[in-house]
This record gives sequence, structure tokens and C-alpha cells, in this order.
Amino acid sequence: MTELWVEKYRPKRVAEVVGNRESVETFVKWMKQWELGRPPEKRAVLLYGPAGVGKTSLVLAYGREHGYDVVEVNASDWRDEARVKAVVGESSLQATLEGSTKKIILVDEVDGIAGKEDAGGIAALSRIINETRVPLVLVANNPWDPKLAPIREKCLMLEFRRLKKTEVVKRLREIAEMEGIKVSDAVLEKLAERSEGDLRSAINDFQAIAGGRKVVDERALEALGSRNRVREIFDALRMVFNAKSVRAARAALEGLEVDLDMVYTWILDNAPEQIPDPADLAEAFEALARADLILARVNRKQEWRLMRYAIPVMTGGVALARKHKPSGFVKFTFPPRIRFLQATSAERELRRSIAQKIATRLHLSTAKALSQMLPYISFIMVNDGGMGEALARYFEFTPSEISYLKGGKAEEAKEAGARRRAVRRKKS
Amino acid sequence: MSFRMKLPSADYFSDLLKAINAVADEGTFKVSADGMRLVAMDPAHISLVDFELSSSAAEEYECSGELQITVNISELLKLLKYVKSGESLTLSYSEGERKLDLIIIDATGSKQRIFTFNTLETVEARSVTPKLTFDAKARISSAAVKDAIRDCKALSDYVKITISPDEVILFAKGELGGAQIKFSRHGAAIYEIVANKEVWAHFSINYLEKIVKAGSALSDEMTMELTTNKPIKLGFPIPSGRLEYLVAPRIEGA
Repeated sequence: MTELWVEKYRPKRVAEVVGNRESVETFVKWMKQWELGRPPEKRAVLLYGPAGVGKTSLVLAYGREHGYDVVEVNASDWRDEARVKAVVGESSLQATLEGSTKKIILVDEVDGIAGKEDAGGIAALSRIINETRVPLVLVANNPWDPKLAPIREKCLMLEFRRLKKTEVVKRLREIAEMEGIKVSDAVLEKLAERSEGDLRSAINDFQAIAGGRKVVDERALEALGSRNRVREIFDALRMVFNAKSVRAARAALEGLEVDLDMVYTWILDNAPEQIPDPADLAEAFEALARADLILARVNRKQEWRLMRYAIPVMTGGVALARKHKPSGFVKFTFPPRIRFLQATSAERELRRSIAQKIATRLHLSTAKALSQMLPYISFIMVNDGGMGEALARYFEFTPSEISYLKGGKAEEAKEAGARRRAVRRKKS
Repeated sequence: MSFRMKLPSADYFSDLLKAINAVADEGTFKVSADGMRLVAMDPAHISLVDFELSSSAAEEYECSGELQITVNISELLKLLKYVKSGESLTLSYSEGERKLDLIIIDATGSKQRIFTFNTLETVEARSVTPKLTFDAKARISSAAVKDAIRDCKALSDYVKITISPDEVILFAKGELGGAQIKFSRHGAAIYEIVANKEVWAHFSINYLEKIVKAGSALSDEMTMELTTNKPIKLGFPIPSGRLEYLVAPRIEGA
């Protein structure tokens, strides 16, 4: 079997890791502290971002360059507490088989444990972070899963973004040279575009179309066929509103990696601007109302099979109602509701984590903890320092949770929200 | 290229596999004209097994060239679960098929069981053992160590092993209390101590227990080699072969 290029050309030194310089440098600094025998305050890092952008490669390259034993575990292999303890927990306290402490524990797909039936796996991991004597690196695609909250605040968070097209092309070019393959820039650019910043898939595609040949031209690209790519929400909306048939409108949502409730909100909020004729709009809202009923039923009864009725109604129903088009181009707008939810997500997240801690301690539901207990606890914390401190210890509140409860408004939470909004603005 | 080996006792081979299984679920046997060797680590990189069986251990042995046979040892052990004493075992493997055949024949030769076992893709993994030197060595009864570890386990997850010129000590301390098991060099459990100073390190009982349990089934005697706060080497002498383990120590004072 021929060797996979993604393995063959995996970076061997940190300097060879493509892109995301800032996060790479922060990681190296963090490792330096371990190397100097002064473990950093945060004993774990969480590398997060989409697939194929160099998260795992960075750790392997660092390990290789600096002579570390990298203990790689895939979190989807173990979910329960016992397995986490046996592998990660034990390993985090023992030296290497050479008798040195030069070891990195790499836990891949941490969000994989959170998604599935997590039998104490995250809690165990959280305890391990407190006690580990070697650097612990966690890797996740989606770090914002609420279940990951307890470990998120203990980790140094390092974001890895999609790679720039030029970065992907440059790396593909280097590989082409090392493999002695003749290929035009146009082909490499197509590959890079297709990959959407995922270097791993770009390299895999390149190897697939090269197929051992030494000359690769544009015709070879056809071999890749049309993969159902992740479409941006704006593309999907354009297709929904302009579709001529239910089938076409429905197809717009295929391959879209966005939550269906979210798509519904997008369509609903954009409908008034996109449909100028009041009669058309009334008809479109009729369809959306019907879809909303079905979606509610799906949620309430967990009857996912009803979803197949909701989708055509909310897409096709709207598309067919739109008999008159606005004169000129009307751009799609970001739904205010989603914007509001995102702006307050840090605060809501904080409230949820506080409520969860109260709920566990007091044997309540989180809803009750939120509505009945949180205001009182907050009142005590504001007015009685000593008692407040004791309560904070009892519930094991973190500093940011305490400041939220004390301050009425959490400064830190607000800041985090603002930061995230800024990041998003930069992206769009 | 192909390989064939007939062992007089299937039972014994099963014990050897259990000894490997104490560390690893999966392993690659490197087979050559001289015999077979397997080096494997557990997923947490805390323990390592170094196993070797010379061709002289076999009744019949054929091997052309060098082969790598990767198997899931836990699954292979399931096939050997019901072997009886007196049954012989023939292993054969041909490179093209990527299948391992096991033929088990009972003592009278009247019954033959044939298993075909799928092997796994070999992935490059560690195949050399770290080079370590040790300050102290003890030869000791494996059953005695097994019992001592069992006693320590009742109280703690860790055991401190000390080798001094005069004794070997296993010490465990937990929330409920402590345990100390001493073996004097003059006692019946100790065969030999070679040490000119005291050395010690802490080890995870989970790992030691599995290894010593499997090893003591194969050998009454074991060796311990140790340097302060460095990995321990545990050896179990087996006829025409080698069975050694390394276990990493706990990191102290971080």
C-alpha cells in the first residue's frame, strides 16, 4: 500500500506547521513553561477548530522536535470514567518508560465524549487536569458544547482557524515538488478552494487525483466528482427564495451544517424583505406557521420523523408563495434573534453552569435552581461577604461565576461575549 | 514467505499470550528463523512488554525470511480459552493470506481443532526497548510479590518499591492506612540481592498487579531491577525465551 501523503508530509518540526501562527506560538510558550520545570497555571490546553487545520499535527511535531513521548488517545474510544482514569489519569502521573517527564498526553476528539452517553468522562478529565504532572493537550472541533464547560475554564483555549487558500496552495506546491509531480497553479488552487481551508482533505484529494502519475492536469479534477459541500447559509437562503419547485427549495438545505431551527429563523426573519407582495407574504407566513407547528411537535415529542414534513413546508412553501420578486437585489440580513442569543451566550452559559452546580448540590432541577435559588444566593453574596464565601466554596463556584453572582452583571462574561462578537465580525 | 511453528503445549502458549496481554491488547510478532519477538506498550505508555521465544522452544519450526504478524491478543486468547493440558498447538501464517491458522490437537491425536484468525494491519510502533541501567537488582519469589501487591492494593493505588542491600520493601499508603511488606535477604522469598545502596520509586498498582499475576503463572522466580525514581524492570525467566517488563514510575514532587 502506498503511504498516505498526509502522514508522509506531516510536519516534523513546529516551524513546518502551516498557518495559525498566533496559536502555534502560544502553544510553544506554554510548553516552554513545562520544559523549564515551572508548570503553567493552566495545565491543559484545548486546541479547537475545524478538521484538517493542524491541531494534532502541531502536537506531534512539537513532540518529535523536542523529544517528547506523545501519548495519543482518542476520546471516542472511551467514554466512561473508568477508562478515562485508567489511561489518561494514570498516564498523567507517571514518567515515561525512559524515566523522564518529557511526555505530552494528547486527547483527541474531546467533544466526542460529550456528545455521546458520557458516564462521568468529562468530570474525570476535569479532575485529571487539576492533578496532571505532564502537559495535557485536548483537541476538539466544537469546544462550546455545554457539557465541556467544566473543562473549558481550566484550559488555555487556542483557536485554530481554516487555513488561507494561499497557505494550502503553498503546501500543495511543496508536496508536488517533493513528489516530482508537474501540476499547474490552477489545479492546486481548485483543490485548495474545494478543501475550504482543510489542508488534510486538500492533500488527500491531491493524492487521489495524482494517482501515482507524474503529471496532473485539470482533467484529473473531474475524478473527484461533485462532493456535497458545506454551503454557506446565505447560498442556501438564496436557493430557498429563488427556487421554482419544492424539490429545488428542499435541496437548498442539503449539506448545510446549520441547525434546522436556526435555518427556520433565518427564513422567517428574511421573508418580509424578500417577498414584497403582501398577499404572497401572507401565504409564505402561513407555510412558516405550519412548519413552526411541526418543528415544535418534533421538539416536544422528539418525533424526528416529522422533520421530513417541516422541511418542504418551510422551504418549498415559502418559495412557491413568492410570486413577485423585489425590484433589484435585497440582501439577506442576520436574524436579530440569533444575534441577541449569541451576544448573551456567555452570560447564559455562566447562568447555566451556576444553576447546574446548585441543582446538583440541592437536588433540584436546573430550572428551579435558576428561578428560585440563584436570586437568593446572589443576594447573599452581594450583602454578606462571609456567608457568600462559604456558599461559593460549598457550591464550588469559579471566580467568574462568583463575580457574576456578586456583580449582578458579570464583567468577564460581557467581555468574553464582546470578544467573540468581534471575532465573528472580523470573519464575515 | 511463510511461517509454521508447532508447540508441545497449547496451554503454555496461552499463558504466554496472557502475559503479553497484561500490557497490550494488540501486538506485532516479528518472526524470523531464530524465533519470535514482540515488544508492545499499553495505550498510556506506562508499561512495556518485551517477549521473545526462540525457535528451540518449538517441536517443529519453519520460517523463511522475516515476517510481521499483528494480532489482537485479547481476541486470540478467546480461541485458546478452552485448551486442555496435553493439547499441542501449531501456528502457521502465510504472508499472502494475512491469516493466522491455529491447529490444536489433543494428546491422543484423535481430535483436531482448526481456527483461522484474521490478522491486523501492522502500524509502525515502538519496537526497541529504552536503554536503561539499573542500580539494584533482586531475585525474588514471584508468588510472594504477587501477594504483597495484593495486600497493598487494599489500601492504595500506588506502591513504593525499595531495594536496599539487605531487603526488598513494598510500601503502600492510602487514606485508610498503610501497608509495609518486607523481604529480608536471608528469608526464603529472596534468592539474591545485588545492590550497594538503597533505591526506590512509586508505581501504579494496577499495572504491576496485572503483570505480576500473569508472570507468576509462568515462573516461580522473578527479577526486579531498579534505580531511584526510574522505571522498574521485571523479568520472568521462561525456558528458551525472555519475558521482561518495564513500568514507568510516578513523577515525584511536581
